[in-house]
Amino acid sequence: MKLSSPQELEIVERLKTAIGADSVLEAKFPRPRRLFVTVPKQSLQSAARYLKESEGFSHLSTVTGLDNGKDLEVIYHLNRVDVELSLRTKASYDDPTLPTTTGIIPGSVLYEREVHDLVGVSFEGHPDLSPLVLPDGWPATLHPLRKNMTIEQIRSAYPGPAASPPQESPEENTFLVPFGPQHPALKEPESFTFKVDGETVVEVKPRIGYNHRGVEKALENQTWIQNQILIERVCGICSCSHTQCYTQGVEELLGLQIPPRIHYLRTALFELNRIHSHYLWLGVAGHEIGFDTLFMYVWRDREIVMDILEALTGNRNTYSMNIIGGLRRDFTPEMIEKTKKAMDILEQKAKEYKKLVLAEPTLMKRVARVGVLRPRDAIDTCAVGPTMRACGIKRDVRADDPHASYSEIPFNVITYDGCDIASMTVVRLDELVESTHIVKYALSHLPDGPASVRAPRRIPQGEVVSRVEAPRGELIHYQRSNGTEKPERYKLRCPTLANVPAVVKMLTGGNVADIPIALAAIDPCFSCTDRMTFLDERTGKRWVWSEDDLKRYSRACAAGKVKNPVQMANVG
Amino acid sequence: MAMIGELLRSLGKRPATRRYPFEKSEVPTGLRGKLVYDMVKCIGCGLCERDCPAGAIKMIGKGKTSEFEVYLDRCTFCSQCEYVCPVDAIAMTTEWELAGFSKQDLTLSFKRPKIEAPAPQPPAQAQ
Repeated sequence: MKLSSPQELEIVERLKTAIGADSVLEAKFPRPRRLFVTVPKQSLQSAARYLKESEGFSHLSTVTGLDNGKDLEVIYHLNRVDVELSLRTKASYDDPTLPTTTGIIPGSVLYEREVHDLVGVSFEGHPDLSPLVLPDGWPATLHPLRKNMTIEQIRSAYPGPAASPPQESPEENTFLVPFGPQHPALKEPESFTFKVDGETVVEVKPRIGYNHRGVEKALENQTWIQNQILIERVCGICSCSHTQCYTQGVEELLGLQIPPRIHYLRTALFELNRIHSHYLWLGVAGHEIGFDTLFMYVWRDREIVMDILEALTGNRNTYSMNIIGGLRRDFTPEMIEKTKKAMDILEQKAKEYKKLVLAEPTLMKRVARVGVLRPRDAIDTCAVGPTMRACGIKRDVRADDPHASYSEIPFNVITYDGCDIASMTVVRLDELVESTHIVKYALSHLPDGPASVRAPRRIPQGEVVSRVEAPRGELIHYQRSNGTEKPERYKLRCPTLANVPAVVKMLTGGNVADIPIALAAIDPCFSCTDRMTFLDERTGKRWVWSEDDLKRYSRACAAGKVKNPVQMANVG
Repeated sequence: MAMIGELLRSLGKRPATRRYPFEKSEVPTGLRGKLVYDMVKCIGCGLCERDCPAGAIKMIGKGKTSEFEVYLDRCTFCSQCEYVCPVDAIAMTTEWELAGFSKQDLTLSFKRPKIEAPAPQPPAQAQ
């Protein structure tokens, strides 16, 4: 499938005139909607600026750092609605520095920090290159994703946790509030340090990586067959999106023709997974604002889709269904009927919950005009998924870069322009209804054919960018094969990481009491073991709050009983 | 108050949860639980050990005389072994209550049936 569409050729031609023909070292079009462009490092900034300002590549999906054995490659995965452009540049081992793009695309802050940690490329002009995913105290010269680092070396390199870095002293009358890290059993533990002035959050500093499991390094050390099982375990909720992204990418590398039935079955499975994830989110959101009745009922109804998934795949959540070349199991006719009936019930329930959310004043008071994210900020921070769509921005990988059979199935991309948590809630509730429609359509229009085709074990040399719309937003995998049974490099970026800069914007200027729901609004895997330490600068008094205390405080605030954390500490 | 109908309907109902372990949930027929080997069918090709992503399968010996150990504490129940087996000698049962008090409890051992062992044959030529 070596196709080059004129539109992508034109982009390259215009880029050449803008930054100079000598500055475009290589341009590849493996297929429509995909473009790989290589530029020398001195042209990186001008190319990124031109692409963003003149060509509309405003969204940076992620930055891949890669050690190819000869030099260090850094790939910026930029995209606009119709094209995904991978802007590649190289740095040598002797001088691993690159100019930063944070001034052009603010959303690259975390991604460049990650590349600095793992591959050891230094970005000149980056505001903060402190460790993001590596622990504090990790030796600065060891970069786990360099090819000369073995797993044994990585294991023995870490000297153990270092003393916590000294906390900067806040200005007068402000508190420093550490929030997190979270329970290690969850997939993306995060820690936020809030600087609060009375009740208002003035600054937020995120720190992630508390449970970085090194999946990318592990993927390089296992075969492509074993990886289709490992990749599912990246996320415990949207497991299906990772296997979907993985298998469609590998199949593209193989050039495998996939019969339409497989695409339809995968689409149905993918949407069933979204239904369970969004129901889960709604329950958690109810819990975070103290509406546990909603949590109980939503999770009771979620069992309907969990049972369906268990019967279809053999497990409630780690389905092991998507394999290279198709699906493990076909859907039986009885299960298809059963699933369609269950979709009718779940559609009805989703509509009821929407009515309830909009009609219940206690709920609306806690989410309306809370956690406001301006559309401008959503674009700048490269937010994804429902977080982006609640700002009225119509971006959905299912529509923009159709995978599986989304190009054949009619569906609406849901957007609201409230820019607050209320909108994020309603976007997800409407998406639930859309998902039930997609499942019903896919199962009613199921083409005949096999549920899997044979795939070779050895994957030919090449590189692929694979994207899907996971329940939490755009999920992107970059796969590089060197022609053996194991990948050369496997980069993955989960939607929660993309939404961390956005949630920082949402929290800044908000109230302390809104922290739990604002963090939950981007749908991270939010844990309930977080602890907060309060330090009253004026009296030197120190006390610790669990998340439960924080929730109690949030309720007391809503009831008007207390106005700030100091009062709450005095009350109870 | 928007939930009042739902609340009233639930008043007369039993809890939605089950009283496990006294009351067990029915599992679907396709559940991927504990795996079993059919050692009569097994040809000892070793693909299951090679493809297992968790290193839960250990093949002892070679070819048709091999034995297997399966470590349930490592098994991820992905059924890759079942899928890759060329002679369908591996099956995932619906048995799901697999907790144990020691690693021994979690180690399954599959040996060749003694009675059906044919008279010793000259070893196959190494490939």
